[in-house]
Amino acid sequence: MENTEKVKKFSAAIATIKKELKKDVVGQEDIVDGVIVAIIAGGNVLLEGVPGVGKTRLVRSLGRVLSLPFSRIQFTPDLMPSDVTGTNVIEKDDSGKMNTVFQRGPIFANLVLADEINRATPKTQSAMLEVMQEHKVTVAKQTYKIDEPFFVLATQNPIEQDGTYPLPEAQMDRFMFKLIVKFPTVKELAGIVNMTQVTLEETANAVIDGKTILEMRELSKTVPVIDEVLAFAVNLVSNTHPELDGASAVAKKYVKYGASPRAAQALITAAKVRALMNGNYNVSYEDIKELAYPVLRHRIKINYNAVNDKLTVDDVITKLLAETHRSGAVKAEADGNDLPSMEAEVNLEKPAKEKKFKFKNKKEEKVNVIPSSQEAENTK
Amino acid sequence: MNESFRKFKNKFTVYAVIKALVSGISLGLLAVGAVLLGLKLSGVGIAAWCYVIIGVGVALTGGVATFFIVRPTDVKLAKRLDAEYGLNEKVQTMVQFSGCEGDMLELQRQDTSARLAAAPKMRIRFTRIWQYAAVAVLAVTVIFTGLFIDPFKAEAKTPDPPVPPPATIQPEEGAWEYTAVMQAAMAEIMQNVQDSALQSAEKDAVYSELYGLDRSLRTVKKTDDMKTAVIATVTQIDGRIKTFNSYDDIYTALSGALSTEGAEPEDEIISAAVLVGATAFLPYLNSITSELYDYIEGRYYTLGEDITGALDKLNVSEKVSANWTVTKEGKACSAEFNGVSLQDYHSKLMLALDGVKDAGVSEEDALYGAVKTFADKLAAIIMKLPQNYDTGTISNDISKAHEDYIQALIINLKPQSFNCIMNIFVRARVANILGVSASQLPELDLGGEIGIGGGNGGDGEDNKGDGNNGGGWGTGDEKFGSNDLIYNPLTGEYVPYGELLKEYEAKMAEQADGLPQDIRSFMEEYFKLLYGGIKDETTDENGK
Repeated sequence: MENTEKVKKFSAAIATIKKELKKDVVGQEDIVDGVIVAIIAGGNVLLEGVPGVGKTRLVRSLGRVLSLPFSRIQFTPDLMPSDVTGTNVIEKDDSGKMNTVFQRGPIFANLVLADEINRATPKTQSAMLEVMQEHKVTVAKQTYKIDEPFFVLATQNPIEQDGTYPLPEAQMDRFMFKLIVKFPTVKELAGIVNMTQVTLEETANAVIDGKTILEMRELSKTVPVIDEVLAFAVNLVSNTHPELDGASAVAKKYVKYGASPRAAQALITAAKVRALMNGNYNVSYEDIKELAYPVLRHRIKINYNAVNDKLTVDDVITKLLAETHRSGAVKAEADGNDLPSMEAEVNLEKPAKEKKFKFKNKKEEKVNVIPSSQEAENTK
Repeated sequence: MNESFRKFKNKFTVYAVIKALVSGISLGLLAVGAVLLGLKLSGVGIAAWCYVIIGVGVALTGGVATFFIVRPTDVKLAKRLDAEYGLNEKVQTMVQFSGCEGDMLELQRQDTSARLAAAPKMRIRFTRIWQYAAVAVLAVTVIFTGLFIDPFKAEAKTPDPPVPPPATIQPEEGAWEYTAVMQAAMAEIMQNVQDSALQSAEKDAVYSELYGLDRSLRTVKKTDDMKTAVIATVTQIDGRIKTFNSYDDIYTALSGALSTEGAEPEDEIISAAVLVGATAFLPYLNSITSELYDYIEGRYYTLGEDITGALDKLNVSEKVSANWTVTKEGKACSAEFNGVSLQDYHSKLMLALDGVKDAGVSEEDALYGAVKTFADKLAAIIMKLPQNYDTGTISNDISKAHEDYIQALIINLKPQSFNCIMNIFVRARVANILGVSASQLPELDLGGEIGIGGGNGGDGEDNKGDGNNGGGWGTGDEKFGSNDLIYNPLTGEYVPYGELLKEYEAKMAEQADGLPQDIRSFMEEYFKLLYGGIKDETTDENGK
């Protein structure tokens, strides 16, 4: 079957991308996986992290690996919307005639890095809204379409709040994921130091192109989702709204306002990609649960009760997941309990855990600093 | 449908069938039991095939319903397999999209099939088995209850047809039945013996005879056979009691050896027996009324001890030394009783004791010991005669010896008198229980002059050894006193029994304060009877 080959190519491509990115990015596997999922799913990513954790490097390296034209926009308070989108300029042609020519802005790329997006004014930020959602720019009543695939990877600094302009909810909603780039572990930091002693340039090679990404995107759309899983995702997003009838208790207590329907779309879309990346041909509950955090954390606004109880957004999302699970969104699982239990006649060998990516760093790894020279010998 | 999935489904379907069967059978049994119990309690009966139909119907219905509840649908099974094997909704996806086409779906199906095929075999455990067991136990319990429970006796709407009275079975002439009432009464009298104050050997003897009678009567069907058995038992008891009682042999030996005119030592035994109450009460027991018999029966357990205890308080230590004449010639003293020297008296006494031993009485016998001790004391006194003792000392010694002798007689006659009382009581009671007339029982041979029962009356003569001396006695309801002479140890004279009776009553009255009221009442009744039955001298020679 044609799709079988495509699926194989899909898995191989993902593996190749990760391998190449590892050359330039130490650690941050969850972030890498999340960015790859978002790109294949056709979504934008907001990377939040302290300075120097490799946000820009990741995006630049990703641009190289994906063979996508890359542009970087450094958002500053004085950045104008036309600086992003481009503007009409008057040029003299060869005949000396003055013509108005549209000078494309840095947004016209396949992979755009919007660095410190929260430092630009809301007016400039809003210039990103149309392009992020519709992948086109309208300037002087003229619409310019941006080539596919198009991604915006924005970054913002959680520490520096002076002189920043928090992204409006409408723009936040345009991001499929919000990934928290944490400070690297000691081991990862050691690796970073060792690597950058060699060179600061990205060394990843191009392995796929935009066309392949589009093919992968189309392929991922065919991954099936059963009704119960779909219901779970939908109920989860619905449970984030305290104002709804039959709202969840967690939302009533801790949520100021909930996620938009785009969250449900993002969940399912990204879950399909994630399933395929993990070698599965169907979306599972686990996909939804793992993607709930990057999809919902920037779409939910927690209230003072959560702050008072020292709960973060992620904590509230955990509670929402548990409540959604209990409320019967996964009732389908319980329905099977009237069947007899089964015992394995032999020790059940569970299939080897499929490689999965996670968006949350679970544990700190122990420090084993490997000198760069020894590491080079090991790879040999 | 995927082959691997189908295999799982088949397995669970079989489980569902088994579960439905068990459930159906349990429900069917429960229904049958419930219907059976209900109809049994209400007294309604139906044909057995109805129960079969009910049971089969309920079983089928219950089984089918159970099957539809527990049967593995594709969705349920898919969920179970995903959960058990950790397949992350792969099987559910396969099932939901089983009818859809698409490359990805086909890939998904293939992948899931491969995983299911590679999954290890599962053994299905029957869950909730205890619930089915409980239903089955309940069903069996209800069925058994319904089978064995008696229906409530509801009022009949229509009267049952009259049942003709059973034909009266005329008992075979001479037929006899050892009824349950008789058996219970015999058991009671055996218990009375066990509880009585008889010595252990006597107790065992009487009890064994009664026990043997009880066993033999259980196989007796004729009155004559019953009477034969009773008479044999009574005779046996009499004989065995007689072996335990030595007074008769001692009396016979003494009377034979010491037959002299005047007061004779053997009379002392008789008198002591009278005082103890053995002979005094024997005629009384033989002539009791039915009311008094019941009274005695009610007082039976304390009869012997109360009477003997009461009589212990009688002063029986009256000196008889007045009948012994002690004189002194020079240094030596001599003593004689009615012309018989002390030495001769002692010799005859020793001769009598030899005769007692020849009669088979053991030297260990207490009564024998009392006589022997008396003889030894007389021997010691004889040794003292030539030793210049004064007559007063000798006289006192003789008196003391007599006192001790009388006391010893009293003490050692108690158990023997009680043997007699028990014997009379047992034979009278047995006769009463079994409906045998007292006149049909053999004469109660108590030895010596003590004859009672069987219609043998006293002849009014105070002769010796014929068993018919002294006392007032009779048979049936005839109660009378007697003018027969009897030795009065208090005066040393022979007096009519009626006269002695008065003194006897006087003595009893003196001690009455120490007696329980019921004993006093008993004594009053006794003397009333005796006084009320005294006849004049024209009484025939049998005392009737």
